[in-house]
Amino acid sequence: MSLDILTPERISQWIGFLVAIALITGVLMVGCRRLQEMIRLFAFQSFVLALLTLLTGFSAHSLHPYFAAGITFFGKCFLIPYFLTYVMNHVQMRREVETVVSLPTSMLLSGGLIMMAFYFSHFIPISGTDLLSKLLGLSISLVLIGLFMMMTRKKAFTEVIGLYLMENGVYTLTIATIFEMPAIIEMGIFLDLVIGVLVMGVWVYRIKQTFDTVNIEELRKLKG
Amino acid sequence: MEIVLLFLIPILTALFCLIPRSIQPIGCIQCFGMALFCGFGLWVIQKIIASPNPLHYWGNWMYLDAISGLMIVLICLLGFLASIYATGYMANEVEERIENLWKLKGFYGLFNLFILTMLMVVTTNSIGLLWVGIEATTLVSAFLVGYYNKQSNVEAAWKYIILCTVGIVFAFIGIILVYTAVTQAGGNKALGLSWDYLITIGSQLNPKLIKVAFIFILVGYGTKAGLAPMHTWLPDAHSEAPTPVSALLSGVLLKCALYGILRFSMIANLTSAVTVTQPLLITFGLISLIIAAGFILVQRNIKRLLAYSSLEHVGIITLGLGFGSPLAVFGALFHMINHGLAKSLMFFSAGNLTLKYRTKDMERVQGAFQLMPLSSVALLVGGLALAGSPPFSLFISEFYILYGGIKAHHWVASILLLLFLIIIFGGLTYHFGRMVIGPQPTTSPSSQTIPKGEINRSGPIAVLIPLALILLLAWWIPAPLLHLLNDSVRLITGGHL
Amino acid sequence: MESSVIVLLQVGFMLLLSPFINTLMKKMKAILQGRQGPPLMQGYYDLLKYFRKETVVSEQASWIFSITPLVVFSSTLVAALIIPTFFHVAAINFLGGIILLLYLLGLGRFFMVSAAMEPGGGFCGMASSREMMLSTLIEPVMLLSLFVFATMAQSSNLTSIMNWLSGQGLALITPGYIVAFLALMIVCIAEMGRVPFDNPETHYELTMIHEGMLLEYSGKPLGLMFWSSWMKQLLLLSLLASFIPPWKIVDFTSLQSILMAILLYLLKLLFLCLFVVLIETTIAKVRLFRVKDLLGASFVLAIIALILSVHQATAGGIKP
Repeated sequence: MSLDILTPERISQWIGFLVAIALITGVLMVGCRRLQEMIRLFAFQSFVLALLTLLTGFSAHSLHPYFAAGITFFGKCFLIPYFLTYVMNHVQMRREVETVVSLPTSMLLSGGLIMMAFYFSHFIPISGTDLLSKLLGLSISLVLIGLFMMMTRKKAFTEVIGLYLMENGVYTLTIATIFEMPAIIEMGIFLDLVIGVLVMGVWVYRIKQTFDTVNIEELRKLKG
Repeated sequence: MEIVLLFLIPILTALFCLIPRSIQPIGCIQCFGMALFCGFGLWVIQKIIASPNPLHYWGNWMYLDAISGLMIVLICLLGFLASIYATGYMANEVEERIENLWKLKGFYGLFNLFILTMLMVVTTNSIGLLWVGIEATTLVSAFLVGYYNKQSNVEAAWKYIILCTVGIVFAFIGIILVYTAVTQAGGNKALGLSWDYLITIGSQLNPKLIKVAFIFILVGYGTKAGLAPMHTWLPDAHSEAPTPVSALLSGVLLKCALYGILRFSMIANLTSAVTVTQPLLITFGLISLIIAAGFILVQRNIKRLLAYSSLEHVGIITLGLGFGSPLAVFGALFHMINHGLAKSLMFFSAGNLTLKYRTKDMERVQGAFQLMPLSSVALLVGGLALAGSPPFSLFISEFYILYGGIKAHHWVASILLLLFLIIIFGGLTYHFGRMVIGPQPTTSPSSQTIPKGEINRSGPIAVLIPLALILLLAWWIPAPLLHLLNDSVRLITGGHL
Repeated sequence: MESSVIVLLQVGFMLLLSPFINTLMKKMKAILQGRQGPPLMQGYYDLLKYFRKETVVSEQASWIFSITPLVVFSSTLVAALIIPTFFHVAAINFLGGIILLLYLLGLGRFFMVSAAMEPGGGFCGMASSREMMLSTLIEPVMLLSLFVFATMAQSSNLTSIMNWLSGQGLALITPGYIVAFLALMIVCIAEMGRVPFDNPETHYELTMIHEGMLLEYSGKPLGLMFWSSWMKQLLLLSLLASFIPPWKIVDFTSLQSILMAILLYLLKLLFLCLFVVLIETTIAKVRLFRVKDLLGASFVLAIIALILSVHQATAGGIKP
């Protein structure tokens, strides 16, 4: 009886919901005004993705995704958000998001990006199931939204978050293809991400130190 | 055994560099370490040449074939040259811009780590670890680019790290798609990311998927290789990094990224996706060439000029790979080595000049011949070599690429290549000629105070070795190198072209 | 016969119940805030009061000012007929019903905005400009989210959408459906002029939107305007209610079935009122300039819903 909710059709339905939630979280990240909120949304989205991984692991009857879900949960829900918050507090920047494009417009544009992503996901011939194509759409949307966020936000810090939003998109793609990568490679990639966020945190700090601001519009000396 | 030692040496060198308490011994340790590194590199290469099949180490994690051998040659050679140059250059910098010894030790630590990551990129068997390696090179070299911590350094480092990381995310999508193609073709999941396995299963992969994957890979690693229009980080990073690092970035790192693209194009060429990969490579190569030509003509900053010249040469190599005929591929691979040598020569001699004049502005570096004859002659001669004039090996490799392109009936691309080579030739000779031969600027008061003579002893040595090498390579390619090149060409073109 | 009964029932119901529902919401809110609140019949008393009062019209105002209450009232009433209330069948149903619904609401709004500018009062003009800004944001979202349901049911007739919905049962609870419902809910609350967007209870000039447009009205026209805005509120609530499960297909021959349907509808309505009131007591009104953020978000929600549902349909999820 308790397993009744985990029949294949039900799982597909659950995955649909999680995809919707992850998409909405992505849009909200573009639309939110405070950096802290943005980090929390990122953690929440990663949590949703970890759940997605668990579900796919359950439906694929394989142990490997559980491992990936665990890593994601630990790394992206705790480690990376914690570190981002630490950097944010340490650098003492203004906690509001500053944008080139206004927030409602960017939300609308990201809606357009989502449409584009789902449209183009049909052209990538990962054949088949409803689940896969949904996850593919989600992943491309997140990548595009992350890229959009990086292009339109003025703070170095938001660029890092945008980058990790993109990374979440790529991670979704790994779920979509139901990874059974050798574990050592997965560990390597994970380590790279964590070190990446550390290094970028260091650079945000240095930008603050040398420019006395984290506004990347100041970074325009080098040209030509 | 030998591969373990090869990996250990940069680590050990970095550690030993921490010990001394003055500047001089650190440089000696670094040079000695890199000389050893070269030696072991040669040992590994000798093994590669001796064995009929590609070498495997550490189970299946390391995979060394002729192409990796070629890259190891490049890494060893340029690592060694850059170390020699760095001993003098960094000693000068300690007097002027580096506050304390620990910062200098940090430089050598990062330098060796950088070499280590590049070594990992070219020796790994797994496309996943290749990705990790390329990202690691970005993370490490960003610290080298921003080493002086001035505003312009930090800006360059930030742009570098962000752009390349975004690029690398795209490349990762490509990797996942390739892996998906393998699982779809019913391949072995545990091996699905290994080069050797991918080559064997390559022809069964879904060509559509591989096409999409290749586009992602090309955009992703192309960002790192500095292909236009994703090149915007390149001039910044190359001009702001300390000069020895600029030489490594331009001479080796760009080629490591190209190596990634090359490996993927080898797999893609096994399927019908070859109809997409070659035009894409040609297009990106031409765009890079055109953009580089434009910026070279109007450039004022010497290190940015050299960076754009790297962009040009990366474009040429990509074109050669895109032409796909054995001759063009041979030219492209040979050009990788030649450009690495010539570019380090240029960076070193330009570095000597900038240290002397304390500016990178070419308007203010004029008449250098009267001040430092050796470096400035090297700059002029190297400039000619870089522009592709005859008595140097760059001419030979560019000629091979052009000839290969024409033989493969890529008329338009070949003609454009020739045209832009001529334009760039004009630009480079104009700039370097003015710097070296032109009159010394008498208007500025500071010029009076510049004393004559070279700035240090290691600078000229580091300049002369690559100069000799590019002269030598034009007439005679050593048998092992020729063997590596021929084997690589055979692997890449695979007999199916 | 059957349809005329429904028309009569629906007209009567809309006319009679709307003041009550409004007062009910006020009362609920008062109770939640620990106040006593108005008596439940207050809405009717108000209407009676307005209809007894004298009408004063500004000298500057033209005929538009005087016909507006009638236009608004009648357009809202007709719009109310398009929406299925107690039964799954609406009084008027034809293909394109949801589009007509929006146009009727738009017609009322157009006249209201023009009339508000007629007498030349400063606050009225401000309120109407705000109303237009809101409506440009609301209308696309509402249309889009209704289209999501329409694409699912493959019909733009609300009655056939309802028929399809009740045939689906719980299998219908797909991501697309829920997201679309959320978007619809947000815009309906905005359209009702309720709290995160507008506060119906203040007459503080700087914040009011809807109330601001009624400032120059008095007497019977004011009564009509109030009545039609209550009706609009009820019709939007009914629209929302019709998308909440469970659905019941009414058998018009049995009285019991009809009564059950009415009861079910009233329960859903009560639930929605409670929900809206809960939002109103817990969330503060957002600044006018941030309203567009919220509506932008709901637009994106609607887009996501559309994508998900279309995707589901093409990937062979639910058969329409």
